[in-house]
Amino acid sequence: MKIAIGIAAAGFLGALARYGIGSIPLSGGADSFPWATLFINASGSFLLGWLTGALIRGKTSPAIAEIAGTGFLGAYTTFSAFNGQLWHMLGQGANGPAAAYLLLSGIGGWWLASVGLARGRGEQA
Amino acid sequence: MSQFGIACLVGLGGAIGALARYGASRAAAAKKKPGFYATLAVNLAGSFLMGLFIGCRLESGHAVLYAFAGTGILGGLTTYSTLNVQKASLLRSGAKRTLLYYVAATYAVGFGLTALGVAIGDMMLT
Repeated sequence: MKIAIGIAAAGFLGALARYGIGSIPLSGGADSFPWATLFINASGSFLLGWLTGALIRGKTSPAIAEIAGTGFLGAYTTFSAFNGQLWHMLGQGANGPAAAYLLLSGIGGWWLASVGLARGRGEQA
Repeated sequence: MSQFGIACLVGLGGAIGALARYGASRAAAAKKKPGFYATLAVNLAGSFLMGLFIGCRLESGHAVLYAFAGTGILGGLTTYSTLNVQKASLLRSGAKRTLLYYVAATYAVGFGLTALGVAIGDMMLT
């Protein structure tokens, strides 16, 4: 129960942080690139990787990892807005930027999560 | 509504979404399923609903409702950080086939569901 309250509070803050960084319309403008969401998803992926590694190494407790990871970082990052933005970009014919956005989020964010995980585990990345 | 009020609604929605995602992960754990099952389920559900919101022009037509339900609930429900960490963990553990299926299901089905949601939302609006 305590964990659930912590997750709700952390989810509140995570969504608020995302809103504060990226409060622009989903559809953006004709020439806009969703930099804010990319930054949010990339930074969140690195931090969650690091946190997961720290948990594996026993440097943090499962409760803290759950609240900060599942609660804050889970709510901070978003997959629904990502797909909504991709849909808008493709609809505007911005195929190149859409492909770049997909690769930067999906491959770049993945790499950052791997680096974070290795760092959190105390490995030389 | 004031900017402060909207920010509170975003946070409230985020809390609801995060709790629902936590519930999904607990349900997967109770059924002895790997964690990515829950992530896939919430990301696909959230992508479909986001498409529905886009099709219904929720963001431009009902900005306050979109802030709560779209930015808040769906943003809190879906996650990219867990997705990327799970991809990294699956690669580390050498589960390449599972990783391939997970990535394909997340991206292809997720975007397909967004497109489907938009189409259904469009029909609901007209």
